[in-house]
Order: sequence, then C-alpha cells, then structure tokens
Amino acid sequence: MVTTHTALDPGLIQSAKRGDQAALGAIYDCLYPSVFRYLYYRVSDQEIAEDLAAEVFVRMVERIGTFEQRERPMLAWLYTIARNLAADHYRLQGHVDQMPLEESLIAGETYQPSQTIERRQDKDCLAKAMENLTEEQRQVILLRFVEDRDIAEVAATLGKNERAIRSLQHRALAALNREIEKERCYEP
Amino acid sequence: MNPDFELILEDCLKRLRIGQSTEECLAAYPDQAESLRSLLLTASHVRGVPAPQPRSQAILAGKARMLDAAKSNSKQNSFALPVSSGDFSRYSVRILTNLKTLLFGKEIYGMKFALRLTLDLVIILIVGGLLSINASAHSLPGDTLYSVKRTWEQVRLSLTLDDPDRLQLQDQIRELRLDEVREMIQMGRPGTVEFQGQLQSINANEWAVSGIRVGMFPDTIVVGNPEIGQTVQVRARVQNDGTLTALQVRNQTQTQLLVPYPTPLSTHTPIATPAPSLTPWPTHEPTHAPTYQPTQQHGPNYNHHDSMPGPTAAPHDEHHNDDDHHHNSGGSSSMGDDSGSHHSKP
Repeated sequence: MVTTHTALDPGLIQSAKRGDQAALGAIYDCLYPSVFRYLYYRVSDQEIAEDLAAEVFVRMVERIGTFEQRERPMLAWLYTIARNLAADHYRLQGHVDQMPLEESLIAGETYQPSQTIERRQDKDCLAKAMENLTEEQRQVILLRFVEDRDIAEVAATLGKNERAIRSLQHRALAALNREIEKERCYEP
Repeated sequence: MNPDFELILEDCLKRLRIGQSTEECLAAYPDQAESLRSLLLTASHVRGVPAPQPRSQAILAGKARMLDAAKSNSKQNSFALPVSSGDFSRYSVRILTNLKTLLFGKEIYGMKFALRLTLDLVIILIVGGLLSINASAHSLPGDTLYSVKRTWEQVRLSLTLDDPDRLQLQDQIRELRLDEVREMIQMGRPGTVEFQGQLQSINANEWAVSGIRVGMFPDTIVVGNPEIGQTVQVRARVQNDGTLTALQVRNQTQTQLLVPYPTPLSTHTPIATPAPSLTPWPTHEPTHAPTYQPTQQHGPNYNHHDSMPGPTAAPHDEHHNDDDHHHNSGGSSSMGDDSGSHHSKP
C-alpha cells in the first residue's frame, strides 16, 4: 500500500481524505519516524519532539482535505506543519530559535574535523549544530544523511531539481561543518 | 558553486554510502581533496550519529490521538462524507461547521469580536421573540404579553395573502377572542375586551352575543341597527363579579367583516361612515324615553347630517319634544365622533 516515503500511493491519500482509518494509520506508520526526527533536530528534546510529531498528524487529519500530492509530496507538507509547530513551541516557551554562536567557543581554541575522535559526538550535539542551518539546508541534511535518501528522492520531496539539490547539499555540509566545530562535537 | 565539484562531492558521498573510506575517495580526487575532506568527514559524522528514534509507546499514543481526531472530524468535515452524497451535503456540512465555529468556536479568519457579539444579539432577539410569542399564547387582556399576542395575530393576518385562508384565520381569531372573554368572565377578572359574535337575543337589559350575555346600560353606545342573527362587534368591560358591561355594540357590514380583525384595544375605533339610521334602540319595547325628533330647525350637530337619513321609526311623543331635543343634543355631543345612536334606557 505504502510504496515509498517520497510519493505515497494516490489511492491511499484519497482514502485518507475520506477519513479511512486504515489509510490514515498507514500514512502515520510510514511518516511518523521522519517527522519525529525532523522535530528532534529542531527542539533537541525527545518527549517534546514525540508530542509535536503526534500533533503534526492531528493537523494532517484536520487539513488533509486540502492536500494535493501533485503539488508536493506528503512528507514535505508534514515538514511544513512540523516547522510551524516547532516555531509555536519556541514562542510559547519564550525561547529564541537560535543558539548563541559564541556560547561554546573558547577563545584561542580551534577544532579540526580531522581530529574526529568523538567529544560530543552524539545526536544532541548534532541537533544543536543543525539549529543554525537554514530550513532547506536542515531538510537536505536530514533527508540525505539521516533518512538516507538519494538525490532524486530529496529533489522530489523538496520540489527542486537534482542539480539544485546537489548545490544545496554542498552548502549545507559546509555550514554544518562550521556549526559542528562551534558546538565542539569533535574532540580536539 | 562549481557544478563539477558538486558532482565529485556526490560521487564521494555515494562511495562512502557503499562502504568506501574517506581516504579512498580523496585519493580518487587529489586536486579537490583539501576541500572535500571536511565535507566528507561531516557527512560521515552525521551518518555515524545514531538516528533519534521515537519510543514505541509514543508512536502508539500519537496514532491513537490522530485516529481520535479523525473520528471527531468525520462528524464535521466534508472529507468524511461519502462521495455520492453530493455537493449540497458537503457544503451544508461545511456551512454548519463554520457557523458553529463562528458562534461558539475560537476567533478565526480575523473575525472581530463585535461581529460575533452582533450575531449573538440577533440570535438572542430572535429566540427571545419566539419564546415571547409562545408564552403569550395563553395571555388575556391586561396581561403584559397580551400586546405581543395581538401583534403576532396582526402579523399572521398581514402575511396571509390568500383570501380563503385569511377568512379562516379571521374566524380562528374571533373564536379566540370569545374564549378569552369567557375565561375572564369565569375568573371574574376585570378588564376591557373587544370581540365579534352573532347577536342571538335582545332583551331589555341584556343581549346575548355568541352565547355571552352582555349587559346593556344607558351609557352603552349602539351603532347601527343590530338585529338578531347579525354579527356585531362588542366592546365591553368585564366586572369583578364576572358580568359584562357593554360599552359599545355595533353591527358589522360584510365589508367591515373583511377588515383585518382584531383591532388594537388601545385604538378608539371611529365609525368610518355615518350609521344609516339614527333610530334609537330599541324600537320594539314601549318607551317613554326621550327620543330625538329631528326638525329642520333643531337638527343635531352631526357633521354628516346632510347625507344622513332622518329617524324613521321612532315613536313620536309631541309632549316630550323639548325634553327630547335637550336630551338628544346632549347625547349627540357626548358621542363625539361616534356618529351612531345613543341607546338610552329609562
């Protein structure tokens, strides 16, 4: 029934639009983990990410009547909902959606990627590093290296051509490299 | 950005994906090795970080939450309707949903508070009006809601354009007035009433109109020449003891019967046209009451005396001419605009 993450079966979406519980459940099973991971790298908190991911699918149910897969894939649409929910979450928390850039830097210290023995090599550090990427850069990193999609799938999900995605991937890796250094995710 | 470099980067990323090392890839592109190194290490780092996974209980709870939302939405939203139910059903459900949101839900689409307040007030007025009409159904003359009842009757009459239906409604309202009078008499509840009915009997001090006994007194104004069997309109006062004192009785012409009825109690009903006869009533009982004997010189000051026929069947007593004249002049003036006769009893 569910074919790929990128493009769901149109019949499945039509069934979901009619309120079919099985279809809605299948879409949830397929896309919930990706939505959760997107949110995890936005809010850096397991429980909050789980709760917001569940809310994304409640919103999906409420608005699926307006969704058209030919305009963009379901996952891209859910990412947009998740992004707005994460922004609302930050507003409610009075939290600034940007980490201080200088917070983790120690004057005079430099960190080379070559010194790749993990210092803070965990997902929390990566999450903090990703917070300072642009939305498109974050989505490319997530889809390419967390969700392990190829260039064609990422292009379909984000509604861009493959050349644009390759260029975006280059910029995203360069930006993430800088942020990882700042967050001291590598051992010096 | 260099497209060639981006293709090389993508090639190296594919090599890493299938298990080659970073150094193997850099060896394949020595000229770009310096630039590629940090990017490939970053990509490897991200791939090496365990992907965060949601807990199983959170997955199940989230799914249940979504399906609950779907169930509740299916009762409201159009997407849950069968396709065969058609556009009308879909839009009607959507309109009802929006209306519900408008009235009770949270503020949406920039809707102002004032708009919602206005809508709420309109609904309160409509509901309040309907409740008042319902509550006034059993009110009697003198009650606070009686005017609501009469006004609603007028509205119904105004809205009934078909003549047969209108006549039927008039009959229903006449019967309702008679029931009100009977109820007030039974309760001994004082108040002024007005009703139409068939004149069934005429006695010295009491007439019977549709089974209701109406007391006739010297001050009672009789307009026209009511006869048994005719429809008369009675304006009367119910006394504490349950008796009815007639204030005015007049017979109804066919034209008058078609006039929307009832008329508001607060409005004095002028007689549109002079009564065809000024003959004092009654004519069949012996009378020594002073009666008006019009003459050319001593005619009463009726505005329409030129068009009025003179009294025709009044008993004539030569010896009471002066008294008659005096009495009837006073009577006519006391009647004011009522161009009817003044029933005087000894």
